[in-house]
Amino acid sequence: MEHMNYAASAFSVPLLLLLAALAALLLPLFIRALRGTQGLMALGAALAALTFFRLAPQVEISLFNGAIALNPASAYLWLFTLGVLAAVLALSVYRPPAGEENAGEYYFLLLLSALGLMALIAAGDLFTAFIALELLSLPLYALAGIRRSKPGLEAAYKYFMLGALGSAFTVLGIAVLNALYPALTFDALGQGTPGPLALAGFLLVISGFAFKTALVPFHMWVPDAYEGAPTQISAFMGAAVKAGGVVLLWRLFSLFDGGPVREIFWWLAAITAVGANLAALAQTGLKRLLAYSSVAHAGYLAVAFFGGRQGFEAVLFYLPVYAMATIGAFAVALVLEKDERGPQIEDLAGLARTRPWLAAAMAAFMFSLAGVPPLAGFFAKFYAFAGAVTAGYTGLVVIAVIMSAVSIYYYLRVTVAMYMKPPAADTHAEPAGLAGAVIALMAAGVILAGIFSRPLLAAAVGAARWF
Amino acid sequence: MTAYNLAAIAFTLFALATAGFLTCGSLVRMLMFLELMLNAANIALVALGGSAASQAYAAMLLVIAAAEAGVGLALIIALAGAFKTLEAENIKELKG
Repeated sequence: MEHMNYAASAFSVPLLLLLAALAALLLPLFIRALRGTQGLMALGAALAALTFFRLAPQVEISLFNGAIALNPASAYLWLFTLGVLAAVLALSVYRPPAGEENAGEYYFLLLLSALGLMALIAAGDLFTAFIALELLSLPLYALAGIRRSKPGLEAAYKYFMLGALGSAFTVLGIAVLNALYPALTFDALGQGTPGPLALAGFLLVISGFAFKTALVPFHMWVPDAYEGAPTQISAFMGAAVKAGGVVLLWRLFSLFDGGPVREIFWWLAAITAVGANLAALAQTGLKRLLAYSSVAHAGYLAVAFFGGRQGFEAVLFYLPVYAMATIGAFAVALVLEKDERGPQIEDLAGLARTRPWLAAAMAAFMFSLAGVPPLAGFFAKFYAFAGAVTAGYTGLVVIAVIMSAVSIYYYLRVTVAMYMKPPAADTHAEPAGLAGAVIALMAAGVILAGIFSRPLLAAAVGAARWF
Repeated sequence: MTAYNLAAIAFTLFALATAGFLTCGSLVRMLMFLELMLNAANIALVALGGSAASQAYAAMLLVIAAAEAGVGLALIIALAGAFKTLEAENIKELKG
């Protein structure tokens, strides 16, 4: 009984977001005074949901014939989703990416996308996961191009075409698996060793999901999409979509103890770590740099998979740590951006002199992404790689560590520009406002989660037992 | 015609549509090939899946495909307005 109460109260969180989405879309049409307040409505709902959220009892509640599974792991990731959503909403209120007339649609789509991620996290079968993934990505295609400017629309169409291509592969894979297995729940899919046909189905599904998670070689859309999309949306893509894709890939990965699927993941992880880091070296735009960095981190997360249970604990620790650094870095880009393609790295020159706090926070984000102790990013990478080494995948970890060392070069380049170069002549000082609050919170997060990593790690370990 | 013939047709259609998607340069054609791929996969699902759930999946996938087409068409209309072209090779503001 208490469990059903928990299920009811858990469902109130997505319902609250759905109501806020509808309110942001519809109310301002009828009540003129509410125009321009859609962002505050959405932010209020996200913060209220965060406040009312309580972690699940230590049981798994399976609903709708196994299509939805609520457990401490999904609660942990829901909390993560709400945090990311609140940060992105705050950034959107700080500087609205859409015009006044599109504000309703913008917040409606953003909240729907967050709902899609929540459904994806709780999905207990492959088909529900696919529908949730579509709910996560379809609004984002529109959001990327919501400004109807040339870069935004180009970003949106590239994201759309490759995302839809991935969806088509996934559907074909689901069709094959549906024919071979009695049910599409992850439990049923894990029974027995798959034959060649089932393997083909799994590979189709995995390649479809790899498009969304942006593993090399399925990452072609990422740099353009991140550069052309509004910076707030780039932050959401980096933090939230990545998390959704990683959770799904882990679900599929953990069905197999060995065999060809693991081999494929091995290669995906290796070429993602190598390809993304090498491509990032050549970037001059900050948003493109962060895009390649997000691809690289997807590679490290895939490396962490090989640690099994311990690896997934690391993934759950890694996701919020990576999200804080990425959202923080995109928030800095947002504060500094003069056109919609975002600042170039050289635009950050002399930031330490003109805006010391902003520069210090950005340096913390860069060092955390690079994995420099004592910041949280170091421990995230350490746990991620430690699990894989314990499981005997030393070769893969060696590749990842080498590429991670390479990545220090491009993260450091941003820091060098801020601290060692003289300021450019036209430093315009946009007040940071709400974005400043987000940046401060994220910076505090990456520093505190590094120095006191125990509580977050304990929460991740507790949650990982349930996946 | 057995279910397996139908599935074979669906797979062939999917392969042809994928080849078309990858080789054609016009966004409208790419969108049409995408729809073909999604529908081919849906036919495979109906042909191979015997359970009632598969038929329900197919109905939901139709809705997904429609939503996908809606977003895609909206994007294409906006692109046509901004770029005055729908050839993918002429839409190159961003490097990459």
